Amino acid sequence: MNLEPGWLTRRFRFSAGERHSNGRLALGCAIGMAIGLVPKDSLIVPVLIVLLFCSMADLWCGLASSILFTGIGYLLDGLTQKLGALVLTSEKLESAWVYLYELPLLPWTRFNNTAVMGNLILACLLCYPVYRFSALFFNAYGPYFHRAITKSFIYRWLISRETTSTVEGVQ
Amino acid sequence: MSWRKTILPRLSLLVLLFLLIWVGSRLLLKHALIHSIQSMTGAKVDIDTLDFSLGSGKIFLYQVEMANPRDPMSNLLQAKAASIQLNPQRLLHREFVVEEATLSQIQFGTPRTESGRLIVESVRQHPEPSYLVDVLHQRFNNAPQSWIADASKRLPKLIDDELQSSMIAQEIRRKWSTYFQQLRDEAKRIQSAVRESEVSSSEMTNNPLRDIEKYQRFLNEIVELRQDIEIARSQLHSLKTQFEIDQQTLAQAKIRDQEIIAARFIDEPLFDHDQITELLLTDQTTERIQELLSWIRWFRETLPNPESDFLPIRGRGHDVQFRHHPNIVFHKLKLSGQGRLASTNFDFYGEAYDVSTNPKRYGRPARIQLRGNAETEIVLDAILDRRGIEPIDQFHIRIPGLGIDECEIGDPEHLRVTVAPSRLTVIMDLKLTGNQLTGQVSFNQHDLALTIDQLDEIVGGIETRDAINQQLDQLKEILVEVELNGDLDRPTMRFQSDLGQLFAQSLNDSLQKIAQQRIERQTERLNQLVAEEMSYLNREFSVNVNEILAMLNTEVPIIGQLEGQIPKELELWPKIR
Repeated sequence: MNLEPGWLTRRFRFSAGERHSNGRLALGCAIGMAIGLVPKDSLIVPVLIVLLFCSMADLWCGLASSILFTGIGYLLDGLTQKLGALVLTSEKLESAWVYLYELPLLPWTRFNNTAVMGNLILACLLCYPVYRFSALFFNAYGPYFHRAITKSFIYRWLISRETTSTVEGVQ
Repeated sequence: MSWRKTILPRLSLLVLLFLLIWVGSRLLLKHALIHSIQSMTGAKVDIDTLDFSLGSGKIFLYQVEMANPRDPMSNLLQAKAASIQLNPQRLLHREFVVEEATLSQIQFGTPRTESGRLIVESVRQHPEPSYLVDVLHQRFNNAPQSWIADASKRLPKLIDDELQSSMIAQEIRRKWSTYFQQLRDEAKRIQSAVRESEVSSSEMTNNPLRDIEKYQRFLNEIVELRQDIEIARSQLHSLKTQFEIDQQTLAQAKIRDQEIIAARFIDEPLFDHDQITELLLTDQTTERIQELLSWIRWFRETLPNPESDFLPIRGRGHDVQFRHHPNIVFHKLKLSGQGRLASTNFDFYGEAYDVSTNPKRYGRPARIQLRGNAETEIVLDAILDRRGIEPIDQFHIRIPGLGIDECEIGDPEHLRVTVAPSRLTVIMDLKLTGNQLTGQVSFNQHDLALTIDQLDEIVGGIETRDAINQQLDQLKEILVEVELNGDLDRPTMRFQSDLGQLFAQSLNDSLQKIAQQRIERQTERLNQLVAEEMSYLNREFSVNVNEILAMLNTEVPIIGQLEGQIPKELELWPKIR
């Protein structure tokens, strides 16, 4: 009888001891950060979601990060819009923007919107720092989180349900 | 890490996600379309069902409602079905270029059960509607009720007191009356003097020597009386010459009066055909123009103004425009539906071309060709140019054979005309620059019969009425040309019609006839007056002269008798004495 937790509970498990697992968690945080920051009516968001799924990134971290950074994005709207406006109205870049806007599908990304452009630039700038910071964070605090989670009522409840279903399946 | 444990579940999850999206694509597209249209127009949009064909780029919509941004409890338009053929190439560039769209069973201004106000605020507040007044102001040259009454003042009219002949006749009459009275008094004085002389003679003795002084005085009196009688007689005889002079004066006055009467005959027309046209057609034409302009106002108000109505919803950030193309363009839009105007339901169908949410960027004016079927076919061709600072709209409306019920035109007191049921063809060409209005409207009322029911006695009454009615029998159509100017809310109009010409001609003929009759009557009256005066004066002259002469003549023999009483030897009296 296999009493190992199922795939759902494995999503909750922070394998702090495994380097490549921490990297996946950090990548999830980075992509989730980009998804969270960019306004949702942009074609960039579904592209990032596909990227999240296709990469080795952790989906739950991506989800949590996107939710967190959606809120942060709204808080930083004033700053990001100014940044976006600065870039979009730059005379040097104008011809490039016009060229890009004439390309198919790109207008659906709404890159010409100050909020989209500002947040996209911010996401690009924060991508590596978030990845690095997340990796360090999971290295340092992963085990504590792991212990806290495995002791939590929810985790125990999920484990017990999955174990029961596995045993029932064997029988 | 193997593919089976990592990549495959993720790809499966992604495929599942895409499948879910595909299954819910209609719902997603519906909400995306609603969101996009709302974002671009600022008006709440409801779509009951949506279907689409990805291959052909066609979208089918059922029960589409777009709320009126200016009146949230009513719809700007409601269509039962709509098909949209999008240009797929332009769609890749996030441009909704509709090659051909069909909106069927459109209804305008239908009430909504729930408010169509979007919770999110638009970028700008809607401007207040500029339309304030719906009263049509007109400019008459004259008040129509007054100038028929004025006609009576302009007709030649002389009263006897104004005639010189009458005044001179009165003067002559007074003069001769006084004159004859003086002569009569003189004659009476002579008579009384003769009576006194008779009394004196009876009192005298037969002997002159005894009453020599009395005889002497008596003799003098007799001589004086005879002289007085002779003077009076000569005066009476000399009066004949004076009387003839007075008669000539009166005759000359009569000639002058005849000249004055003739001078008062007005040869120029009293009634201006434009004024008659205004009197007959102002109310009716004004009412029709008001109705047509209310259509134009309704049409303009119903059509959304891209500048003020289609305002994008305030979202995150601002869009920097890198391309001068509007978000939504309808190259061809087929329309059909029902409308309600002036308490009349009508079906309409037609096409609109080059309709866009931003005509300035699109660079072409919208063209609308609509045909409405109510009682008759209504044709509307409009060019709506919203590219400039001010909207420039051109309307061509044609309504042939509109049924008109029996009605009355003109003024109830002075000139009332009944118009039998007829047909009306309306052709209107109108240009609106902003709210400034210029244009022409022609009303051709045909298959009609006009009858004058009431005509003022001043202009001939029944006789003139019958004469004009005879002419009106041949009139089968009226053409009214209206020129419109001014502001749409305060338009001014000037109109002309051949109807006024017909009436004015008949009324002027009638009035001239009446004037001629009056002149003839007044001349006749003058002649009669002068003749009567002449006759009177002649009669009075003869009677008075004869009477006075008779009075004097009767005294002559008495004086002779009195003379006879005086002794023959009277010549010798001084010798005796």
